[in-house]
Amino acid sequence: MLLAVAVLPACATETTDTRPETADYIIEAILAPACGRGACHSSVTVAAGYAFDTLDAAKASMKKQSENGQKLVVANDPSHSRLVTILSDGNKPMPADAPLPDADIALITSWVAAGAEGLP
Amino acid sequence: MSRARLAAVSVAVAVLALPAVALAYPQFQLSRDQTCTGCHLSPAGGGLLTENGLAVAESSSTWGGAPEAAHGRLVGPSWLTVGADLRAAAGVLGNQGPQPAAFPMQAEAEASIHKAGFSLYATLGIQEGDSALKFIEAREHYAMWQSDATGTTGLYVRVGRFMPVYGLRFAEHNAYTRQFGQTPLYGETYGAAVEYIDPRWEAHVTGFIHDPLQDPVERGDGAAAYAEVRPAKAFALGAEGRYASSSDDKRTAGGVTAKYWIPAANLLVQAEGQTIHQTFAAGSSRNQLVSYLMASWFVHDGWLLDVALAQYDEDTHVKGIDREAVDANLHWFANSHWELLLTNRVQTIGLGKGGGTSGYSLFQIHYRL
Repeated sequence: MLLAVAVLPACATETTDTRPETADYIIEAILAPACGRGACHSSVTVAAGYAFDTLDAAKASMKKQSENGQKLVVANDPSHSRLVTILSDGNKPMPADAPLPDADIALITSWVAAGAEGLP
Repeated sequence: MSRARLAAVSVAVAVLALPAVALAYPQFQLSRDQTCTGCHLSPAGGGLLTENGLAVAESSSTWGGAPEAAHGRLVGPSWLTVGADLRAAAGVLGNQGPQPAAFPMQAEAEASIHKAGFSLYATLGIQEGDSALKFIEAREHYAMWQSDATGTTGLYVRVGRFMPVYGLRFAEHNAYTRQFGQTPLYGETYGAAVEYIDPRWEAHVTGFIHDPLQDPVERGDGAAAYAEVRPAKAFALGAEGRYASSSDDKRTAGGVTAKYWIPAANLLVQAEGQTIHQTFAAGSSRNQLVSYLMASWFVHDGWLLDVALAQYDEDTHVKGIDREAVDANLHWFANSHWELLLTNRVQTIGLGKGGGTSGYSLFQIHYRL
């Protein structure tokens, strides 16, 4: 019953994706909860050298290069941005336990393609 | 699998599977005792057990055995209670296909010093971290006063570091209402709580600030409240509210819980629904919905089967980003100290239309000293 109570209003109010394509929104609404929790890319563990649990930590991480030398974010070039390619990487996708929704991946891709607004 | 890949998967699984020691098995409430304090020293449940809790640990397991610390070999003064929890897991998980994983989960020691209604409670453990300082964690440490020094009901006041009571406190932190709700792994804060426990009802109010010393998961300051009434021994209904404000966001959350115990079928049904309104510092906002419905069947002495349906919508205004999951957990409480647990999940996004389907199957070993 609770599931129904929760799901029905959600379906009733859903519209097209008008979420902001900004660094702040993508970090706070998508990357922090999906990647920055607990023992993964938090400021405690800094797994693989990245942390996505705060705006400052995530923005600093996005300036780094991945282990294969690819930059995490290359403005205007999502195909060379590891943050984008790793979300659907056929060998080593992230998050490792469960994928992001396609709409979230599309939002991140579009943000990078539009110049990665909000990254210093 | 390369070492780097195995490490990445292991870290991810650690997040997936690490339990929170402060949290308990709400499956035992109503089915075994009316209140959390019937079995635990903490009014939130979880952690060190009372004498009755030890008895339940023994009677609810297949082979029983001395339930006290170190199987009864560690006898200390009456004002001291100690314990420890160790967990490890192995199995497969998959985002685009199954990947093997094996990892330690938990190594924590707990102690409580109590005298005449006053007590000090502390948990010390280890966690993954990028420095030695972060390796040791003091997850919970608080001072507590309870009005009934020898009982398990009445007024409780706590000051220190703990998880503010909010909703159902599942041991598995990846239960959707914890993972996407307001009690995530390592979500403990510093705060002060006033709590009242009665067999017919209980209430918890906590004011909290984020941890300024250890790197926190909860970065906000605020308050949480949870109340539960039990109009019948087999039925409980709860309501919850929470507010937190950080430099990055503000969250206002509310929800309801329900529990129903069907003794003839040895079945406990419990559910929780939460709504979260989040406003970001950059100016935008979103509404989230998360819910969990679990049926727990006490199959036989020591055997417990949970089957749950979960739902999470990260933004109710956007189509196709809702997640749904089916969880199935089989617990075997082999004796008073050992638990073997098989946890499984299948998750879809937008009912399969919004993203890849994923899942996991993990075998856990849990030893309570």
